[in-house]
Amino acid sequence: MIDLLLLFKGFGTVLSGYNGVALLLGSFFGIIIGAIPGLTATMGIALLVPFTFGMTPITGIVMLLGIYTGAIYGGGIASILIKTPGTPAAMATTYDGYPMAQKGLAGKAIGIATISSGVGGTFTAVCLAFFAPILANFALRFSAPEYFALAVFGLSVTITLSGRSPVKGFISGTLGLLVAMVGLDPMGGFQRFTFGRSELTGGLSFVPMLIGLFALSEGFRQVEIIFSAPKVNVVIRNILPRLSDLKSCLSAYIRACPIGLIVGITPAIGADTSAFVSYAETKRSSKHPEKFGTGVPEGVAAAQCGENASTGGDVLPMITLGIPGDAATAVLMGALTIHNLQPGPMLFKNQPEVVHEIFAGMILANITFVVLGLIFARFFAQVINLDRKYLTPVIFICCMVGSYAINNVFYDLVTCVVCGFIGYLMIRYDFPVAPMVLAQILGGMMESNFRRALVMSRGDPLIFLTRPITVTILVLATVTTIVAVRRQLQALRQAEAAAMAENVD
Amino acid sequence: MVRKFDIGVAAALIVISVAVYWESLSMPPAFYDPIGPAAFPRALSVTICFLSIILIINAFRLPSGKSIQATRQPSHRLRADLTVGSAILTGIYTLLLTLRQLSFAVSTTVYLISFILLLMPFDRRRLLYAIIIASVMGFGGGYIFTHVFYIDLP
Repeated sequence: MIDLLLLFKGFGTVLSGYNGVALLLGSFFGIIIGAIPGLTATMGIALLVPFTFGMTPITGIVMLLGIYTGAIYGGGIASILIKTPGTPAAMATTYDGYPMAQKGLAGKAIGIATISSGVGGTFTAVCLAFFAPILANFALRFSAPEYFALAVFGLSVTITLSGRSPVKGFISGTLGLLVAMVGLDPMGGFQRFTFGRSELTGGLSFVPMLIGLFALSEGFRQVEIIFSAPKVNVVIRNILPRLSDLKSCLSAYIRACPIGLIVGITPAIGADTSAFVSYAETKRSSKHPEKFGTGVPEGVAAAQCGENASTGGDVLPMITLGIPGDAATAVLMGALTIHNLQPGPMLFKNQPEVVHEIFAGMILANITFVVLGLIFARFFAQVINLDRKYLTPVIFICCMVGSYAINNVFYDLVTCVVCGFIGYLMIRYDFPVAPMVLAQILGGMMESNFRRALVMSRGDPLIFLTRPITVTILVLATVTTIVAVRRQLQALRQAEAAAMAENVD
Repeated sequence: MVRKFDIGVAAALIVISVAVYWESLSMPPAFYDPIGPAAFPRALSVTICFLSIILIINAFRLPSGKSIQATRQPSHRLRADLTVGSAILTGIYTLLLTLRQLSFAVSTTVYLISFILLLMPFDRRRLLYAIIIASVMGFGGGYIFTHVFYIDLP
């Protein structure tokens, strides 16, 4: 169960000294990252992880949580003002946010988006604080077969739900697994695929690879579309919404909060799905669904609330089981590991005070971006107009400095640049990047636990079919994979048919 | 273009999977556990090979002339030439840092000026902006990285 005393101590720690400043800076920078179309929360975290090395673990983690929640919220600002989502998750906000801005209600839309994001994010952060200790306590019963099954589940769902082509998703995932094989064999310590290079003994450097795949690749992508940046030319006033406006959004909050939490917990689907499902559900249950899409505050509230409500759900499996739900939490997990905090049930047992500080940080991060969002709304709107011809090269420099800073070796610099270009090609040609990174994290866990389980059973593979939790998770993984692959194949066939019909025309 | 890329990737992956399988043959037999260190890499190489063949088959199934990807292209023109240019510049910058011929501040300033000028048509005003931003980032950024964030620079 949650330890309220530790949680309140956590609030004190997060608000004291440098931690509070780090949270403010993280949130501020996160909103800026989110507001600029093309820059994502994952990129923001990956970019700034190395800058937290000189900080204490909790200061660094709090700053990254601020970036994470701030960037997810910030995506909505660009959606409202220029109909281009700042982050992919904010697409649903364009439906009613942009029409509101067109009616001269940009300030009101931003105000509602800010408070709705805060409501969703705070709800889910509180749920995280309450449910995570229970799940972690349950996970203490897990052994090697269960962890293997969890890794298979996380991996299969991630692969099948990321991207549009299941084959490309699987290829990306298996390549990630292959990268995870580089280094020392987890059981015998035998060197695999190191080609005699001492730098590869510990495996491919994870953070430079992350920075390359998520930040530098996006930088290359930004260069490609450098001349397509739209400008903000609407007036923003009356940002603070009236109480009556918020009352009308209450039904949207009641639906979006639990939807966001559940969607967030499900691996591979995060803020974007949550926002769409919340929007659709609020529209379906509304008394006037025909008004949705024309600029109603409930539409903005549902999308933004659902979007941020997924953040706590995304963090839950990562912190309790060590299984990241999406790319952003994979990067967060990497950051925790760098600060010597290994996510999983043992973290709750060995360092409960740190866990509660993270919970407190997550709750406060959601409150911080609301305050900053309401005060600096006009500034964040102007950030969208930043000339990317100057900004993009600076992002490149941050990527390079960050990847070098981890081990102070040039080999990491090369890893970052190579992974950056590979990531760019993957994005350009429809290969999802997230499965590759998640597979690299889960690959080691999968192999070592599979082999440990076989040692436990003296080589009998039936161990995976005789333990109830393992069987349940493996059946879930199989069913989810089959359903997802079938859906994707259907969608692909429809797209093929449409493309062929277009060719005939 | 997508079709050609997919086929190229699939061919490269088949070569990689054969190399992985070949390398796994030199790994020691199972000693500490029933399957040994070579089992997972072998299974992965077979899986990658299989998936690559499916990718090739799928690529040939795409309607010729216009791919599914092409139907999703954005309205604005993509500047892949600029991306290649930026990749080359970044490669040279990495090489300069690795060879340690120039200091971080100087190489970063030169890199940023070249990069910014690559992205926009040349004129005096823009050159001035580029020099200011590059110098601030190269010299000022270097100071912030080392003295505020305690990061060792290349």
